Amino acid sequence: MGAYILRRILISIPVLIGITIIGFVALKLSPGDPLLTTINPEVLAHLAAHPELLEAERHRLGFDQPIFPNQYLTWLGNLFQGDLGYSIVSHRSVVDEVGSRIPQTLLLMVVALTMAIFIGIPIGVITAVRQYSKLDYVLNSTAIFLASTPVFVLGLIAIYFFAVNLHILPTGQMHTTGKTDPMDLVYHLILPATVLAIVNAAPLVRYTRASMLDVLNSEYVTTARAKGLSYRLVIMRHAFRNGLIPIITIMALLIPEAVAGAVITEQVFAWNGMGQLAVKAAGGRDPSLMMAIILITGIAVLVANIIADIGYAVADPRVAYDRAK
Amino acid sequence: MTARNEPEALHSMAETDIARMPVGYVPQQVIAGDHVSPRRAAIRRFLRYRLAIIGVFMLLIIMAMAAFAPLLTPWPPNWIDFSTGARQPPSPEHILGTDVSGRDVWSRVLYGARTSILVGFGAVALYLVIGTLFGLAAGFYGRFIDQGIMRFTDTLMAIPPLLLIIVFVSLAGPSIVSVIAVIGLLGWPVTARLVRGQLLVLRESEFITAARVVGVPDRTILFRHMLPNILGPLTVVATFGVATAVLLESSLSFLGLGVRPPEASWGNLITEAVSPVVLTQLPWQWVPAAIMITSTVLAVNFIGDGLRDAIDPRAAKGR
Repeated sequence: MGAYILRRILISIPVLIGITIIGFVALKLSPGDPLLTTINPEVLAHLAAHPELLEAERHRLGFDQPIFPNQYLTWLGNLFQGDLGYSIVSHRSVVDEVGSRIPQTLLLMVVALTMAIFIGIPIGVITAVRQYSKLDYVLNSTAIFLASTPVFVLGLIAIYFFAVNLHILPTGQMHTTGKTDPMDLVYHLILPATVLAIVNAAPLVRYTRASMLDVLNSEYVTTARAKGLSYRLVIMRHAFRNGLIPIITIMALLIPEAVAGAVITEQVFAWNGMGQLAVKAAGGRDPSLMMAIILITGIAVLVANIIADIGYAVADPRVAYDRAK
Repeated sequence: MTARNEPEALHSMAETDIARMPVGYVPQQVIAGDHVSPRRAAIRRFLRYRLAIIGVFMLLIIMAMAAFAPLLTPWPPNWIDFSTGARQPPSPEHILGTDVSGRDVWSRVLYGARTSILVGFGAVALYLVIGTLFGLAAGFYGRFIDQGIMRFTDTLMAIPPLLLIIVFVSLAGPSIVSVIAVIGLLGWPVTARLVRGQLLVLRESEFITAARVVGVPDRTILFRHMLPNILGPLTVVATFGVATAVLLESSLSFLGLGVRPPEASWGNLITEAVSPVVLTQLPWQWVPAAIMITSTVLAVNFIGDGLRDAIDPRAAKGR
């Protein structure tokens, strides 16, 4: 198992390097003086008065050297020292800027994805077990409809009904001004998390349904039923555990989509997270900031994939056996 | 199946199916011994294809709206009607009212259809070509070319597409052309993986060996013997790709990072609704655009689903 996990992590390293290269290219393609995005704006302000010092600084940072590999390696070195450069809009260090927002996004994502799993998988199982029933038809069509509707439309509709018309939930933000208690946060979390959960649950319903149908039609399930085991027992013990295996993989593959959903959800609900920051960074063409966001989400996606692979090996012991050889 | 093969095999499926949600399928009805009567199964099958036909009709209507936009409205999309004024409810003159700046909403919806159709088809056409070429190269030549291309697709797929596209569109400067170019240039990995996967199977088939033995050159094998055999799955991927591209464009434009006003897009029509006043008092400003996006995506997904079942009966049965 240890070797398996290690191998999975090693496979991700070239992908990570690839992500940094894409980021670096984006950084270099962006218009503007690279000096602005690299050094502390306060230092820059001091230097600005002396053109010869600016030139020296340019030389010191290697901007007169070839972009690849010299400048890339310098950038990579800074990255390992936790230096992601400076935002040209807020003039803050990118690490501070991003770091302060990670917990908010993580909170939203974790709550929403957990809800999605607890909504999506049971509904998927029900629709598979009750295949072709009215219930199946209604739930399946709803899932299809929801998956064809953009996140922001769902968000706006939710705000329309629950916040503006019924006045039972806030329209956005993380806190009511002046309040900081956790209950207030939960109160503000309900709508965005639910919208994001619904968006992510829709594909899960469909995949769980498909996977369960596959299993339910297999011979060992028929055998179990023929032995006289109860339908409920067969579904829960025999079918569900096998049906779950492909779903784990699919959940990992859904992560990039979930991130995209979170970006838009944060924007609609003015949720103060990385997604909002990403939109701001793109709007202000803030290369270091965009770069950092890509890097962090890329890493998050890779970690999610590794976790899924491990989950996969746990759910299906045959996998670990194969890989360990 | 090993852990490594499984996610790879699922990539193409996941990308085409999961998020894009092939719509309206009622699977499984053709399996022998299914607990559904043949008549009900037949009704369901009919229903499934009927959805695809409905999808075709919906898409044709939307495409007609896009193509004949100037004939369907007396108002230019960017023209501000000062005599009627801004924020006016629907009237005989302006059948969907006027927006926050006094432009005719119906016109903007029509021209928004142009944007969506252009982006949907343009971007997908672009990445189909790129993805097919990369996929063919990877699947046919194998070895280090395959490894290189596959690791590159891994990398691109590890970054949430929306983020990657946001970054590059903002660098290129938001406009309809850059939206098409960026989606097109970044969207190809799914296609490449699909083509490669299909080719790996085809490569071992006897008719290819036969062609080799006879001395058919590589290029002819690739484009005359192999490519036609994967057109089916490619069409399906392309169809779902159009749905995704339409959603992406509307999301980008909604965020103000795609097609920007005054150019009309369904997404940027909805942007205004972020203000609670517009959301509640001016539903005609955003509801039509929302309906159009959902209808377009549903229509395309219906078609994709019908196509998939028609092209690959095994998928229709197995799922």
